[in-house]
Amino acid sequence: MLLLTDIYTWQDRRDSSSKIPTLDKNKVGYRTFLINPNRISDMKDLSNIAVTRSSFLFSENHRDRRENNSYIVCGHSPAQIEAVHNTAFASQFITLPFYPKNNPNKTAVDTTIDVDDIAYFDAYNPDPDNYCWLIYDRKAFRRVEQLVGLSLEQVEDIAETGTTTTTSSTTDQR
Amino acid sequence: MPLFPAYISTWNTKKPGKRIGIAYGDYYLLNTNRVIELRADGDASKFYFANDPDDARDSPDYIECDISVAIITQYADTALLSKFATLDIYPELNTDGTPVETQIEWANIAYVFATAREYEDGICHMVYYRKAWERVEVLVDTNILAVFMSQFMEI
Repeated sequence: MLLLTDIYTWQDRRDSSSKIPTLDKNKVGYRTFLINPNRISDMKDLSNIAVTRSSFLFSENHRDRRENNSYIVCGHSPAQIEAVHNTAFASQFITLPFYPKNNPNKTAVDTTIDVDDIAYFDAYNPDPDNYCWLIYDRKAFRRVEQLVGLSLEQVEDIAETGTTTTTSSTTDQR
Repeated sequence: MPLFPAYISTWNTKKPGKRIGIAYGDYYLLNTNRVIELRADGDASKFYFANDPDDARDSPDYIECDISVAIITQYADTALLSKFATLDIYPELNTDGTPVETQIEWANIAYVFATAREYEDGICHMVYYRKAWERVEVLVDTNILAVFMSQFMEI
């Protein structure tokens, strides 16, 4: 299953040195992501009496040997992450509404992908209750960023049960 | 990772050779673990197909077939009898030789097809990968239907 977790540190060598925007860092100290535990290696317990934490390395394209791993600190313990990883997906394939050219004004196209190809989901800042970014791999070939017409919680529902009961809300922020 | 049977109407590839017009009736067995961005096309479907999913240099092919998204998903969720396929493989694509019983992981098989002649002779072609390393094309001394059925039951 996918893990919905608050991430306090995400250091990588991709287009930015950190995936957590400064606004989130300064306001709450973390950002919530929905990540695929099949990308995790070298997980360590950083929990103490006050907080639950773990650190691990995370691969955005685990099939590509050229892919340098990110370093993540998140708000779940290794035991909790292991329990999530041991929970089966509703199906090997997941169907999500993809917006062509990542344009939310276009009509979404239902697209089915292998859950093993998913790296993580990130909230869409202008309207996080209705949209999110999906980062997945076309197998080893290419990393893809795709706008999806669901919130992180709705995606988690679909991964777990095959459907979502979480309702969307309308917003005029966009 | 089970293989599903499909009539392929379009198969665009950057690899050498044709795909359409080779297999008998253009029927193939395709591995569900190679499917990318599966979309409905009426009652049929279209998707990208990674021949070698572990090779970053492998540009996925584009396929249109007559099987619906729901059925392909059902195949992907079906348990295999074993992770290994046991197949009698002719050495060096030569049907004059003696087939050698060989175990190959189902996950490594990309697709299976039979030409019209092979269909009559009860044999078939199989393309599989030695993990990310190399593509291998072999002749299997079993008809394509038996290869399909052997995923789910003893033949």
